[in-house]
Amino acid sequence: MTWWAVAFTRALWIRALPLGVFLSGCSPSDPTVIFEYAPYEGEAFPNKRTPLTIPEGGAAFVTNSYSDTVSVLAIATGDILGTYPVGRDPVSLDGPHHIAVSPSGDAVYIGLSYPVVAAAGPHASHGSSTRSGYAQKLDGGDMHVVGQVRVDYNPGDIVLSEDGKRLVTSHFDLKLALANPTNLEAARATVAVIDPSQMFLTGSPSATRIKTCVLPHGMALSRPDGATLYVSCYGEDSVTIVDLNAGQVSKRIPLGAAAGDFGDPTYGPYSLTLSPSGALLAVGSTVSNDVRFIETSQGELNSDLTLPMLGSPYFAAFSADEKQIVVPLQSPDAVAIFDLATKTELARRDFSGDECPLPHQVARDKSGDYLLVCEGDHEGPGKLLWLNSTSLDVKRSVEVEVYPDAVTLLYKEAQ
Amino acid sequence: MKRHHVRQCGLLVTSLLVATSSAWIGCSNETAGPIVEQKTAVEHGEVIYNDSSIAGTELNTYSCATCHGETTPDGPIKMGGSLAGATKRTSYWAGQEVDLLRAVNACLYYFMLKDKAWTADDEEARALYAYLEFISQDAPGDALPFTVVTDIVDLPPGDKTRGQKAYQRACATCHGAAHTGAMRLVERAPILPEQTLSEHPLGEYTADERRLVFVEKVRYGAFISYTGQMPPFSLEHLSDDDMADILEYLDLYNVTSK
Repeated sequence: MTWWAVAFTRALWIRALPLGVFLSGCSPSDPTVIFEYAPYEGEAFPNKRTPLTIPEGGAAFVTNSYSDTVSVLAIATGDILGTYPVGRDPVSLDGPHHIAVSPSGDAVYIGLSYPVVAAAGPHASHGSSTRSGYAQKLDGGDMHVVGQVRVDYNPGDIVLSEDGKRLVTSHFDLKLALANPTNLEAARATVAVIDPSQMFLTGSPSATRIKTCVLPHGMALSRPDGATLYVSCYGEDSVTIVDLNAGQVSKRIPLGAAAGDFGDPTYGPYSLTLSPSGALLAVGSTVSNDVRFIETSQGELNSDLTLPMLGSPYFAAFSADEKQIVVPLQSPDAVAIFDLATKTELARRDFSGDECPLPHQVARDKSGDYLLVCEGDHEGPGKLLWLNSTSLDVKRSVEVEVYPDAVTLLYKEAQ
Repeated sequence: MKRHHVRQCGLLVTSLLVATSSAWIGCSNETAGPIVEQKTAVEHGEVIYNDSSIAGTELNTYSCATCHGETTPDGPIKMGGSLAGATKRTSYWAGQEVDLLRAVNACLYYFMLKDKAWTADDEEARALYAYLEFISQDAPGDALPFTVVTDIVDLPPGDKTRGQKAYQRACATCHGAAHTGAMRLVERAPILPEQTLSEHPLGEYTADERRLVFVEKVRYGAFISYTGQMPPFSLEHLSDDDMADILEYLDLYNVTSK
């Protein structure tokens, strides 16, 4: 088929046939045809999405990194309320990584990390799929995309201030770190600070970038306004405090005397969790396999409180009274509860087989039970588990999609 | 009422032809001034469906009709499938999009290089919807299967004769004739296979990898580790057997000396 046949409608093509006659026989002042098109009077592109209604008992939002979806589940029943495609690219993996929900539930925020997926093919090993990440804003009413802002490579965590006015992404930029093995400042990646009210489909203002540290990942914001940002710095063995009002790093807190040279971490702090009161910050380190704590009032490490772990700790959750912490572990896969006063393990559940491969993040339900994300094998479905708050017995297990990574909870009264 | 005089780019020529056609009418009737023809929104949508200029960039030569439509046994492979039924479907792009407008905007952005997305209030978007709704009236509303091949593996050699036909149906519209690029739709589409091979020289790539580059590009299109404006060919639209036949036709099982 030639492009002529592609470009013209049949009707117009037929009209064009006597062209030679016109060119030879008519003057330039001859009349032209003007088409007047009637407007379409119906509803064009009607919204067919099923509205998302948060049930009594609340909902759990889970990102599925390798399915490009967000699963929403009823906390009380485990029913899947919906599985929503997200992202920008209809073919490639956008990699929805972590997730935050606005206090009212009217907006959901995800970080798109564009993972380099190991695949066969001559270009798979060339690392050519490095792409800028995005923070994306979804309408909480039906999860359609309403805004997006470009951020840096490999967004790690995404956090929203309690007042809903600050959204921050960290960038776990391994490529940047590897490219600058002897230049600390050059190896440091940014956090991106976004005004959620200024996230549009196109034309969003750029995020404010603050150079933070090497391989920043887990984050927590002070309450209620998020003026202070805490960042776990995997590549620097520290937690960095960022004054977001000033737009600069205000303090770096080494995680111990044995902190390694940059690029060779002794601790490898990866995850952060702020306690309900905001007084304690739990830092999960995946190299030293322990959880350490920072007293936020002093901005200092509590050197008396270190919890050694059996495996690598990921995103933990405090009990409501802050006396206990529940920690998901990988290699070996398990979840454990610790008493902070006695520094003892109160209960542990070891996972075998496909019960919960690669536990990644735990969230505390209002009932006190814990919801645990299990990544799975990254090829088939992962899971969300409901765990008894004291025994850690599995009360419910629900399959979600491929490579679930993060969970956040929303309750109806928030809406 | 939308007055549609002349569209830029692709339809500029169309309009010239229409105008001269009218001129012929004008000569016969000796009538001065423009002739106004009333058209429906559906007719407007059909024009848009076939019009590459809707992208607003001279870089684009695709229209919706380039990739969408029924694939006949001897006709070009329409890798986007038919849009009859599109307004009834609940998902697009293998379930990655649930909004038709977002699915359309994905085509406009990735393949037709249009930077500004349509909204549901835009006149052209509304007219296109009218046309899609019209052609969907008697069509089923099932989502079309679209299996994106992400695991790129080598294929056993195919059949050269079948490959020639498969090339004509799958590749020639955009890339033109093999080895020369004659009559290609997209000026920047590489001449196959020589131009692509030259961009992947021996030494930097093994002979097998040079062949796999073709498989990868056809399966990924402008996505995954690639850019450009080529749509991906799903398994439903181009089987691995067809792919192997094309590779054989392009003599890509013997690429060590090229």
